[in-house]
Amino acid sequence: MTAPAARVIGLDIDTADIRAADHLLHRLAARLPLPAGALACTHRLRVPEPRVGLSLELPDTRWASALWHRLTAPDLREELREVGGTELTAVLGDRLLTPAPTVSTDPGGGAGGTVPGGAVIPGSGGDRRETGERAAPAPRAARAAAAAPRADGVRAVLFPGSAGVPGTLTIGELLRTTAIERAEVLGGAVPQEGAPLDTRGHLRPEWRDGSLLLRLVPVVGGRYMPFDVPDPHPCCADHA
Amino acid sequence: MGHGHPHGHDHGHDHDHHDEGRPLPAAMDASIPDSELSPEQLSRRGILRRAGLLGAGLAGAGVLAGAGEAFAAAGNGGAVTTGTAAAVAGKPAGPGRKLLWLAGDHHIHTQYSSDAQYRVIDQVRNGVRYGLDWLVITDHGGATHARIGVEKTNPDIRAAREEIPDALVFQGLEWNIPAAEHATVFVHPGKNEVEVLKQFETDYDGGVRGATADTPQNEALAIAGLDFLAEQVQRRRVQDALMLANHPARRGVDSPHEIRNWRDAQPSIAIGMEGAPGHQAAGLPAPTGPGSARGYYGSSPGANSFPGYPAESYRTWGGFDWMTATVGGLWDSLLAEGKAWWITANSDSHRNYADTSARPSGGDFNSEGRYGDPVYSGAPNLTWGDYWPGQYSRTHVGADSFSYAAVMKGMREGRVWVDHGGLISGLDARLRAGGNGKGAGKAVGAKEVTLGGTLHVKRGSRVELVMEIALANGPNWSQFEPTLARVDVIRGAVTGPVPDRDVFTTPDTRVVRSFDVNRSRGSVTLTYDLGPVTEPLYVRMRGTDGNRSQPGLNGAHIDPNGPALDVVGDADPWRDLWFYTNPMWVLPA
Repeated sequence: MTAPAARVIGLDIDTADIRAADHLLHRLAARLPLPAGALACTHRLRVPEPRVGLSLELPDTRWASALWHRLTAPDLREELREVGGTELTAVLGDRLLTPAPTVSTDPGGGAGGTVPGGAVIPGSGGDRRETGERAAPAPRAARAAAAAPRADGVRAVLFPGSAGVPGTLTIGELLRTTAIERAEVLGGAVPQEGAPLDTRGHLRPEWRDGSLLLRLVPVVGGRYMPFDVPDPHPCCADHA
Repeated sequence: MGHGHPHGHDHGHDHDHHDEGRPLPAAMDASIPDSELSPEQLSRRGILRRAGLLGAGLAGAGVLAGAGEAFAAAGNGGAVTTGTAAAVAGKPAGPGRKLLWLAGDHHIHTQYSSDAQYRVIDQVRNGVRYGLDWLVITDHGGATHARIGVEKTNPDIRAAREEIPDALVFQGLEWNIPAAEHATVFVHPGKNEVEVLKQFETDYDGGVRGATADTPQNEALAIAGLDFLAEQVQRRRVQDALMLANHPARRGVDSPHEIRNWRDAQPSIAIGMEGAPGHQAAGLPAPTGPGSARGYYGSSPGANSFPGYPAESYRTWGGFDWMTATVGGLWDSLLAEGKAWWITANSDSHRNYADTSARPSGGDFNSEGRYGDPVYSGAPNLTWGDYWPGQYSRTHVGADSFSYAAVMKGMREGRVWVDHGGLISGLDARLRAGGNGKGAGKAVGAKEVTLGGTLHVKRGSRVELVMEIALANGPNWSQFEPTLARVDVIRGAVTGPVPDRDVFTTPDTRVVRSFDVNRSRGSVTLTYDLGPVTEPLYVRMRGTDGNRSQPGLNGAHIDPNGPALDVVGDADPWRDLWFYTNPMWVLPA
């Protein structure tokens, strides 16, 4: 009997920045072979501090295990560290992969779970060992993401059909060709099937009541665009 | 003639030219004929004329100190003149007490912000040109600004005060509130203004302290910053200080409980928020405009955002922030607690739409703390999303005198209304008890309050709202005369402090009355009969040009014709004008 949790890898890269999480997921997708039904999502967490967790939901445990072992490869970990600024923390079922020198157990056997001389996670003070309530934020975030990959508000970065969506398509085409099941305009209106959507190459539907919902805003020309945009006007240049 | 005075004395002493009792600006002084005004002063007088703010209303005579909140008017304190703008705002708020309605902007950037451009004098000159009486210079908090900018800006501000004595120019900063968004923080001018602002920024700015994440420790640091400001006032290092949250819903990081905590920690300092953000040109369509989101509200939830905020909160509605635009929403949920929280509207001017200047080349902001003075670029820049102070957004404050202290006091006491695009030129709203319900004149012994005030009445007393609005009476700064289509009265029950400090709705607030106006000239008097009042309540008002509306987010039964969601890349702010007032309360006993 397969527990659903063993299909979902939870990840943490010590960030509260959603763009950084997106970037890492895209890099992962480029370097790992992800199956067609995979979902990669970001999670806004409080562990207890604000943090972005990531999840990779695979179609079955075989895929999950295979990806887990890929994640332990040093060259991939190094490459991902360059992208994310820190080494990954990852969780799959009972398995924990952490950059800390202390090694976790892998009761399922196999070669995974050890990190040869991994780097210390920057910015997380205190005890890095997982000890129940005093667990470090990285494993907590990874576990939280893995535990609830489809909770309301979880944001999908990669999802069935997400690759190859054109820059412009109708709402109906979007719903037919991707795993997105619903589209809604801010304020609650449901757009017509034939309404044009400018994707701007950036679709980030969210889980809502167990299905993927794309929130839209009206844009010039009687069209729609996603509510989630990759490049909102910068807050200000100087937070130094 | 106009205002001027010799500077034969040393500026290094305590006494600044900012005390109460300074002469009225020439434009406001009806004893100075038009022929003796400079072109700028004449322009200002023209604006005041439109609002009916000359003549009996503005001589500055008979100002009473400490008149308190509720007033007893002695008999018929002045006839109601209908149809002419002269009636508005000239009416006394009490025996002999007259208010000066001073237009201003508390959110302005200069070359001392790393993402902005203009000299202090550029912002002040243009603000005055566009009819403002007061401005607050609020450059971004940060390491460079704390180290260099705060000190370097001050001589420029003092020079502007000297050069343009008809403007009240405050020094402030745009505070990175620990754990939250930005805020305007500013102080009354004085010899310690720089020292206090510098220490505040060094010790409490979220950027300087690395305290932007939403953690309990950072939330506490924000409160400590407000406490610090209060202490500086208490110790008389500065005469006064205020804080207002800027663009509060933009990134969802001003949670309801944080807002309540700022307010409750220092209610005399943390007095409100922007009801509408600046950057109002950002939604002008490309290629002749930036083609972006109005107000540059284009964010979506992040890890530091309050998880409960809906997607709708991240966008503007009729150019206004969701917290203010939503009837029965966050602002109303604060007002329903019976506590003050005021709204304003400002330019957030960094780089202005269609301006032909540019930053000079060379220079190093990080080591100099500023950009060099602007140079001519040769072409209007159509990608910038801001307006000059006063050009589109205005915050109107009812002040007891033309002074820094009076502006701050007027803001603290909630005598504030805001408008976009010069939709109206004047507004005088009163809640009064004991009237005959028809608003025609005042009954003998009637008590009344104005914006921000609390009317104390015997339970069951009849209360009426009387609004006198001076219409546009002339073109705005896009050279057309706006028409006020409709005015709404919003009424809410005061239910007291909420048990859950993250609540952002209140069910007992709704639009109760709408008036069709459809006029652009003269003045109108609108009366709403609240009937006998047995429970505490508040009323607030808004008006619109009527071009864009949709049912409010809490349902059409709450708000049938509310502001509409702004369209990305197609939000011409001149075609969607609103004014909002702050509330007045009734407390029956």
